[in-house]
Amino acid sequence: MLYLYAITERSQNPLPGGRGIGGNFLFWLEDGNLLALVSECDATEPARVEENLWLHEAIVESLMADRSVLPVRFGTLVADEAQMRVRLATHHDRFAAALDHVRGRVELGLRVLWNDGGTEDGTRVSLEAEMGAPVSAGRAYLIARLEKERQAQARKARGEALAVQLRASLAPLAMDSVIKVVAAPRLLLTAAYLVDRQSIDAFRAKVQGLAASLTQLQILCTGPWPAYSFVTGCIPQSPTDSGGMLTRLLQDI
Amino acid sequence: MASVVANEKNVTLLDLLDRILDKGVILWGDITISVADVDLVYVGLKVLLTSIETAERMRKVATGDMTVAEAVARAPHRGDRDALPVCDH
Repeated sequence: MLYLYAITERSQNPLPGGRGIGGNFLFWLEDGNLLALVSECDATEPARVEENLWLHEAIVESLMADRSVLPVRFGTLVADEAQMRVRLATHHDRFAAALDHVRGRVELGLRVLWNDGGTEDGTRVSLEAEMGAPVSAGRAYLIARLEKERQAQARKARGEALAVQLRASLAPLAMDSVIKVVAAPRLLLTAAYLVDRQSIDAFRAKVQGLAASLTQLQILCTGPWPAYSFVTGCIPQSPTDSGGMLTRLLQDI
Repeated sequence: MASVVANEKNVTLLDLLDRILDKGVILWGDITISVADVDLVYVGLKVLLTSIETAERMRKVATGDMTVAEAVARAPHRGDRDALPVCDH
């Protein structure tokens, strides 16, 4: 069994050596100009502990310095070398196109939170003032439900407005972006940007400027990361996959 | 005025988890399938661990090691998650 870290391409420089998850040596398999960085692995997925997660990340990042890299999701196992080579050959053109898309670029992450934990308290006071007299338990329950819905709508509207603002101000500095309005009580929005290496400082400066104009919000900016958010769909998923089912299930939990 | 925090350790870990467990190239159809669309909504390491547990349950459902009903039954109570602190950093 092989553990797969990343798919990358040939470069004039040698690939980094060393040991991967479980202490096994790193090595690579090739198909034309494509390389898959792997290490031997037991039959079970490695434990999702912080040490393993950071090791996976460090190995992917070590490739980023001098070549284009497609980071692979943590925990991806391939049966053997033959299967890995088949995968590389089967998806060669898609991997090559994805490598072109992220070449010379990195991912920067934004996470926008409410500074004060959201809008809950103020809304409650105003609503009770609207109702005037003391309310029964059942009525109070319905009022609370209504209040919660109003807060959710307000958060969503604020998130959508911020998404528009982010697109206008940051899009010129990014080659690609993914913005997700979460509109949770604490987290308003997450975003990922694919940025040319030489534009990283300019991007951060732009975020600083944007943050200065926003009230109630805290912006967390991380990176540079391998372009995780911009390679996920480079291989079309099978129509029989269970991603949709899992998404719905997660929303229910 | 809003503030910007870059590369704070816990925030970085959160962003790492969000990427490494939820994004990246997927070789669907291989022996191990990672969980799709796990969104780590909440900030805070305790919550992160909950998210990992959730991801693990979902993986078991996807691989047939657990039924949907079992996964839901073992989910942490939503009230517990909402009561956790906003941020650990």
